[in-house]
Amino acid sequence: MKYLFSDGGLRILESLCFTRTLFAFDFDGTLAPIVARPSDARVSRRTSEILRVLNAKAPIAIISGRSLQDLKSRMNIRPAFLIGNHGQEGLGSNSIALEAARVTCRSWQSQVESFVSRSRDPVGVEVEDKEFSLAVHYRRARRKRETRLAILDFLSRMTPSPRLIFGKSVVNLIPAGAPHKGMALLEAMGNAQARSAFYIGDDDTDEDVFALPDDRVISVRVGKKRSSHAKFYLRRQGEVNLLLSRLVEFFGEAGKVSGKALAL
Amino acid sequence: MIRSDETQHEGALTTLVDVGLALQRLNKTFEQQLGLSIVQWCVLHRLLDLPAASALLLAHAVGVTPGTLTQSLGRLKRKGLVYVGEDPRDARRKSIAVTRDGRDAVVKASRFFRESLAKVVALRAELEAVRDALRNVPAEDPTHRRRALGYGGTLDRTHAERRE
Repeated sequence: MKYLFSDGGLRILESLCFTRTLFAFDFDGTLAPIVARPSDARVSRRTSEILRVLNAKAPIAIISGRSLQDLKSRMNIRPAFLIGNHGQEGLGSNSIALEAARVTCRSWQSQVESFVSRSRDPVGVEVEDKEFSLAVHYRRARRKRETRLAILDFLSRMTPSPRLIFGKSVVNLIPAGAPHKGMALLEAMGNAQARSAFYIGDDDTDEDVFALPDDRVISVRVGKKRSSHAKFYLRRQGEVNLLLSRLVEFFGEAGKVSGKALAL
Repeated sequence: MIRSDETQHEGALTTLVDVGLALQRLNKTFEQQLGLSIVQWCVLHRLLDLPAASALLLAHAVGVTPGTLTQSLGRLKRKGLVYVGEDPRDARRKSIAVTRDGRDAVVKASRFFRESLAKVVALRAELEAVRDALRNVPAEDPTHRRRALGYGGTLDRTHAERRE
């Protein structure tokens, strides 16, 4: 992977503005900094301002592991696509599949809450019910590594078996066979009639996008990680505003045609 | 006595050659006057919708061989109209994108070609028929072709490479 703000990275970023591109963003850790309590996550005013300008120039998608309702409550702008629950909600979702996911998640929730109440550090583990998926947060656990191992050991014995997607101090439980972020991005691209897509995310929950075998998708990870399938990286979440500003700048220039391009 | 269908056949082949040569001349003229040949415009135009394309993908999209594309890309890169860099995930592959100057060049050339080639563009249906007929010409064993023509060398340059 290469640094997005290298010469090559910027060239490719700029070229996205020459065609109809869907610009898609993860939420936690990307648009909003990671915080100790998931309920405290906010998009800064500055980020919202730049995103609003970008929203007027190109189709935008926010693809998050949060529930759609939760995501809507945290966005000050209305992008073309708001997609929640790791790709399950927000794109003309299949109601039968969603109902099956809801039933499965209720069953998991009672199992997981029973496990948490019996654990050594119940305060450090928080179960988030997102209706169609569950998230087990352990950011506040005193012994994170030990807590994580205990959680995984328990989840591996649960029925029906969940698909596990790991985030930063969180394990997400998704019903097997449910759509993922990569599928959601491709569907949104089709709906937006976009020729290419840009996606930025910050952790393993975004690898379903990064690993898409589709050259039309330019992927960026917040934070460099050798094992990631993303093509580019930013050094930290704080660079996201710079990225958004560069995109707005490129769009501003894209409307102008310079006089030096041809000998006419 | 020469049959009329033989005359028609030879006439059609001569016209086909004339078209190819005329296209070559136009390419050279446009490149000298405009800074961009029709083939180069075609490459840039396709590349606009394929940011960070690989060379293979772009060659397929344009309908030329990778070898032909390499020549065009070299010219476009020297003019600053494309960026060619390493693929971020595979250093053996290239990643190609249009630069801002390249995008501007396509926009201006498109306007110019629309005006100067209006009569040719109006024959689009006929051009497509010729293209499809040429694509359906059955491929031969080059050895057989050389012997039939009495040559010792190879005749394996494609029509597209001759045009470039």
